Amino acid sequence: MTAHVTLGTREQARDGAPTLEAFSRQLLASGILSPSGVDGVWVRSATFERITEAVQRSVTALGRGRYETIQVPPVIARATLERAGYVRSFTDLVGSVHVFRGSDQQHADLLRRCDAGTDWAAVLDPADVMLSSAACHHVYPMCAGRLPPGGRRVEVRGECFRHEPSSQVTRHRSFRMHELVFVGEPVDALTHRDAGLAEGLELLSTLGLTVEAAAANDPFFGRAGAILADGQRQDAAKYEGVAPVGDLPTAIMSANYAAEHFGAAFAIATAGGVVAHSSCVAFGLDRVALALLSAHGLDVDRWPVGVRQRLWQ
Amino acid sequence: MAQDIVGADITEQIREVIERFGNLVVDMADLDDADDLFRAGMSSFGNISVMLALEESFNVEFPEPMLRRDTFETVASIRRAVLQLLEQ
Repeated sequence: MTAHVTLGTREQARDGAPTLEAFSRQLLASGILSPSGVDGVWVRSATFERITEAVQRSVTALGRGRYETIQVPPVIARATLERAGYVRSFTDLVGSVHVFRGSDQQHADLLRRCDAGTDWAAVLDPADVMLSSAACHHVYPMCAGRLPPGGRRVEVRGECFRHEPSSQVTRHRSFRMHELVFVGEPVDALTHRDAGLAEGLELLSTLGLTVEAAAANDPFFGRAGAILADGQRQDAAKYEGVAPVGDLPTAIMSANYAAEHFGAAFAIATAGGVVAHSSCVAFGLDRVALALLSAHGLDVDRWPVGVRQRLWQ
Repeated sequence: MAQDIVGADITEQIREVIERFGNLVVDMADLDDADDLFRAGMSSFGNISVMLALEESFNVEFPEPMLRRDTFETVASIRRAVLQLLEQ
């Protein structure tokens, strides 16, 4: 989490760029994103998808064929999210799936609540799945056991949810992550993180974005989270690639070294038999698209030729 | 003299909490007060368990500025923090 600029009502930032507020207004007027009726959930147009699909192809190209590729669902086993430590450390971001398992009598109760406009969801029970918080969480159970020599590389893409309701167009509750994940020897995990950060920043720069690396920490919950965040910064475990959307510096990618956290949680061993380390390089596809729209304008066909060639040729 | 005895008791109490909640990979008895607990295997989650157990044990609450890794790095650093809170 990096420092965010406080929004004013100005149209232009000091450097002449539109403010986030002005950019958002133009973006919504263009129909590239449309409001869904709740904060942080946006309906995406074909133009927006054209951009995110092109960014996905660019991220895949970064992998140079070295990664197994998987596409993951928007829900994840409750047990996996627990083992990943997400429920403990990011309690306020978790999204739970609830289902109806009641009797006819309870169904009647639900209908009465619906008719009365009262809380019908109180009749539901938690399911055995949660909303997926990070695409890479799906990868670690797949790697349980002993890894092959050299570890395992997985490219993973999926819909994610984090309960951070905000009216800002940069903060989506429902968003897409595209990650390059490595699980294996400790030194290789760190190398993967560092190389992935450098290559990711270069990719974003070649797309015409002004992007900078910044040491960061995850938004761990509560007082316990303050210790985790401090530890993460002390370990230089997380970096973000930050680019402006309007005048708001926005994290559009991250490079994370999780050390033995996931290896221990999911009983993953290296070929040599020690607890595996992991790292991931993650791109927020929706935020990269927003940064591109902010940098190059809302008319994609008028983006700089070099950027269009990189994305679509 | 009295203060030394209190100080010794506090150190012992801290050591007991770390031994119980720190998930160290070495024997607590082999660690000096200045030894790095993270090098001795205390994980971030172990750190949090120790923090919560210390708060319960001493009936104190670590304020925000103390919620840092270096507060919990050694028995000695924890002791300094606990003494500071007990004196308030």
